[in-house]
Amino acid sequence: MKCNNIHNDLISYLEGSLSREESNAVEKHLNTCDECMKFSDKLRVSLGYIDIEKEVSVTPGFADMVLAKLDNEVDNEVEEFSLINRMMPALTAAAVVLFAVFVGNTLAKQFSGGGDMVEQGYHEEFLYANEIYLEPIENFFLLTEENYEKD
Amino acid sequence: MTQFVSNQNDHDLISAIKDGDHDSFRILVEKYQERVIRICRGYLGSYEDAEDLAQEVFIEVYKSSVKFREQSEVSTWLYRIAVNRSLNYIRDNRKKFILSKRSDSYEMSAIENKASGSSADNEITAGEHRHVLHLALNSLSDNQKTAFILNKYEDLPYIEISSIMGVSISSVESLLFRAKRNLQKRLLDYYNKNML
Ligand SMILES: [Zn+2]
Repeated sequence: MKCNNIHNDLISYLEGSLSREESNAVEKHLNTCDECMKFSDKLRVSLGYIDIEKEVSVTPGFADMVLAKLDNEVDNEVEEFSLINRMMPALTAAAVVLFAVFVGNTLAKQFSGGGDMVEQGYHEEFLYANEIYLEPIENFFLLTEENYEKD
Repeated sequence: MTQFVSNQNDHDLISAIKDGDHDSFRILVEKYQERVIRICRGYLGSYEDAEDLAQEVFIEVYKSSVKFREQSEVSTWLYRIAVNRSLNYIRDNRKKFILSKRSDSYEMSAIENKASGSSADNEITAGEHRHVLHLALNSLSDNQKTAFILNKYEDLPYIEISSIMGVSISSVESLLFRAKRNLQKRLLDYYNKNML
């Protein structure tokens, strides 16, 4: 068996989902190929952290913290609501002004034709390009995007 | 039978929560806290971040309980909120998330190196293994990542994953297949460039 074929099967081999024969074939290769053996060991360690992370021991009082946070948010909402009530006259005035501006703009656009063309996806690309200054490990995972199977 | 009883309880809890009953809410939190934290941890890696996010998940559960429709399982609905919150968290904090996780893992690897004596230059440290695992996981598409986390962190059967994600069982199977392929490809590429 070739190394590349082994690479595709390693994760299934490690999780024990291969058939007997497939599993034996992988094992046989690993025993004769140092490099694949090294990969297999590394992969086992990395994936092993899933089992470690699965062991959750919840901080005592977690539910209390959630309930305290809930009470806090409900209080804030009540405050915000009364604030909005008090500011109603000002907000109404602001809405009238905004509406007038909107109508004005729409009319202006209709007469000038086209209006501003916002390029879709520009924002996203911009963010993406900005991430290039990240450290090498992050770069590594960002720049290899194309080589992988999509949904 | 027990399944029926426990589901019945869940629906009773939600009706009480809809009426603002905090005691029922506490029971629901205590029943599902581990599961929700585990899901969040699958996405975020850091335990502290996962607990913080899990708090938000439960707050959202409380607030949106009025919208909960009795036809679906409470657990399915809860999982769905945890998944969406986690995906949004990563999207919103992409930069901060990656950077803070890196410094975490550097600290962690420094500590673990001290504990284990020393390690050779080309050895990948414990903290790095963990960090690389989450970077590789987060480089998967949202759907692949979600199928993988629900299956591997939460040990959920395909049928439950399919109702949480709203896709067919065969889609879950193929998402998992591609998730594993991509994950191992990314990890092997990483080892290849960093240990040889
Ligand atoms: Zn080989």
